[in-house]
Amino acid sequence: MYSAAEAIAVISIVCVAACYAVWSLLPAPRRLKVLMALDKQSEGRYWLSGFRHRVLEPLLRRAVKRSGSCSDCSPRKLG
Amino acid sequence: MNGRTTMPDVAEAGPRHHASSPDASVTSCEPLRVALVGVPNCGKSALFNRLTGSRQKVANYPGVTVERKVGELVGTTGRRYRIVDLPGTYSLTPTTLDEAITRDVILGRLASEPAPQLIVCVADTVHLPVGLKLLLDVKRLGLPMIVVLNRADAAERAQVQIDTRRLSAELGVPVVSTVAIEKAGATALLEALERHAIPAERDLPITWQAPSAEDTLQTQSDVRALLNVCGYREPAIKRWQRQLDSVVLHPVFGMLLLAALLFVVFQAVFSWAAMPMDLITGGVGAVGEWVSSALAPGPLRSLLVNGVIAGAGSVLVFLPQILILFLFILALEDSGYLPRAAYLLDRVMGGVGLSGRAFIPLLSSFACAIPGLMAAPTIPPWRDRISTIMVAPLMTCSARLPVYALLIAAFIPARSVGPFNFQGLVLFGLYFAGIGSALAVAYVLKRTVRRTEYSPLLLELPDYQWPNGSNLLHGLLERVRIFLRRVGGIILALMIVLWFLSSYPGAPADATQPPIYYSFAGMIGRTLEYVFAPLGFNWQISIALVPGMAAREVAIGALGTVYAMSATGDELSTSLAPIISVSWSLATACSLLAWYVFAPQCLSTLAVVKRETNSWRYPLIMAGYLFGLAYLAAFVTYRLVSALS
Repeated sequence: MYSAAEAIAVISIVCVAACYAVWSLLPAPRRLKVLMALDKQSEGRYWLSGFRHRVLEPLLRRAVKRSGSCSDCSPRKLG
Repeated sequence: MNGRTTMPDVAEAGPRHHASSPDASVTSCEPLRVALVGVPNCGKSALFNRLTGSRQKVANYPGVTVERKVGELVGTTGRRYRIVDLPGTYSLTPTTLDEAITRDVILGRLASEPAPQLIVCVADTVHLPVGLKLLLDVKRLGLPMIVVLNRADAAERAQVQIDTRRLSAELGVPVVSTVAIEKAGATALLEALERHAIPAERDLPITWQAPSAEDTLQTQSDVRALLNVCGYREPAIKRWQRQLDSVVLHPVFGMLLLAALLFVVFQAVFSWAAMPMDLITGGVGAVGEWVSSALAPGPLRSLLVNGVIAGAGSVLVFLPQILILFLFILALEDSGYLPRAAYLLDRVMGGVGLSGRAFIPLLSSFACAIPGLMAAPTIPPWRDRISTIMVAPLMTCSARLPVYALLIAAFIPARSVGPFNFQGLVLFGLYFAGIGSALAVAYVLKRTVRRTEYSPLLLELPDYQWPNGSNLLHGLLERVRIFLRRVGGIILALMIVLWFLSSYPGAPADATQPPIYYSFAGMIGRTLEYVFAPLGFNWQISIALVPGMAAREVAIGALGTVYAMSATGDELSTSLAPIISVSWSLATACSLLAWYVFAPQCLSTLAVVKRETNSWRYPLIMAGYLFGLAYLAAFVTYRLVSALS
């Protein structure tokens, strides 16, 4: 029982890490495009309204902000 | 602006700028469109932040990487304002993309940006002559305007004198004084905005012709006349500043000083960081041991100890060195030295086809190539811009520092050479190799890409000042935040994925090698080893280079994970340096150092080059030439060191 739970936990952690790594490595404009496509797909589906409001909206706001700059670097420019 | 001068907070012009009642404006539903215009570094953005606070949106103008900042403001009378902070410009005749955007927005030529109804022209009171030229250019367009004389406090300290009432009367527009960095420093501007009537909509775009040489001379003459009439007295340049500049800007002594400063920086990176690095290593080891003792043997313990702690911990240990490097860079920036270094290097850089303006993007590239690439559009001629973009990744970014630091600590003896630290000398040499190769590549580009236009260097040299402690602290905290976000984000995620690849499938029953040898990562590493074997790289290094494509320092975390997994038993191996010092030859370590001077191992950089050049051609050329150089340099280094040792 314990080893099965441990295996599930490890698999979940690895899957989440892999998805996060792929997402982080996407260029910011591509991330924005993916989010916009998701937003469009979920439009009008009332059962996805919670997901749109709580997950998509903040991600979209962040992606719009970052599509004009580097997501990993300081906005501060030397000089 | 001492006691003898008359500089009220608000100096109103004649009634012709108040054609309608201010009260009428309150009833308007549409916000008044206001544009902030001014020369670079006049405090325009500080004023924008003061006015709009957090109610601002930052994006790019469509199709270009010029920042567009728009904010909202509601006045005390209920009038709404939509304020746009335009890029700094010295005149309406643009020399850069930023300046062209400013001109086009003012003239109403930009389809994506509604034309402003009111121009707020900001000038630095201390350097008023520079700002007045732009002010006269804008005024000639006949647009409704308020003039802001910013940094009134600094002007007072510098004993600058100007009669603002007279200036307002001469210009025929309201003139207000502000101190944008103070909480109530923009009150006078707010009052002037509230009093200003809503201007009528104008026909767009406004017709404008680039001024001729005679027009420019006339404007300069008008500026001088206006300053005389308003009793302007220049700030006295302090004698010690002049004397200091005579050394700092000297073609020989200045260069020597610059080299000495850089040398001290790299010495300090190794000398000062030793103790905090030991503390972090000890802390990471203790956490690993605690987790090992708390969990039963199994995949979860292996993931946490060998993947998360060994991987992320081996990158985290380099935080002190990165902070020391940035402490120096930020202090030099805050002291006013960096623009002088740009001026000094203009001649040297011009010799290899780079503009002195390239100094700032290239210096930014020591932090990360991406902000450097994003600053490159401020370099006007296309050839200079593309040369800067192509050589920026050769500047040693902070992500390379962990790799250099690890290999130097493992293979270079920590002894003194005269008064110098030998490890610091090697690090200085590696940074110098990056700079030298960037200049060499720029020279090759100069000989192959035809020059199209000439653009002289125009720089404002700020006064020297002691670096502001709060600015330094803020800058360092920002670096800590970025570094920890990377370690806790992409690096951690990749270490977990790499742990999985290094752990599965397990070793067969008759295994003679460590389990990782039979894993997915082992298979990838053994395949890549064929490509990298001539450079002396073993399969562990070959594996680490793959996740290192995400960010260079990830390779260190990957090595930490790979060697932790290679270890017999389940013991923690967070201290990578002692392991590699016995596993690798000196030739392999030198070869890897040479590889990292050139390696195009950063996908984000290539993506940004594609965006900045709007073409796949340049990122592909960049990746190709950097890979070729890296392979060649590593091959030659490996053969030479092998032969010598």
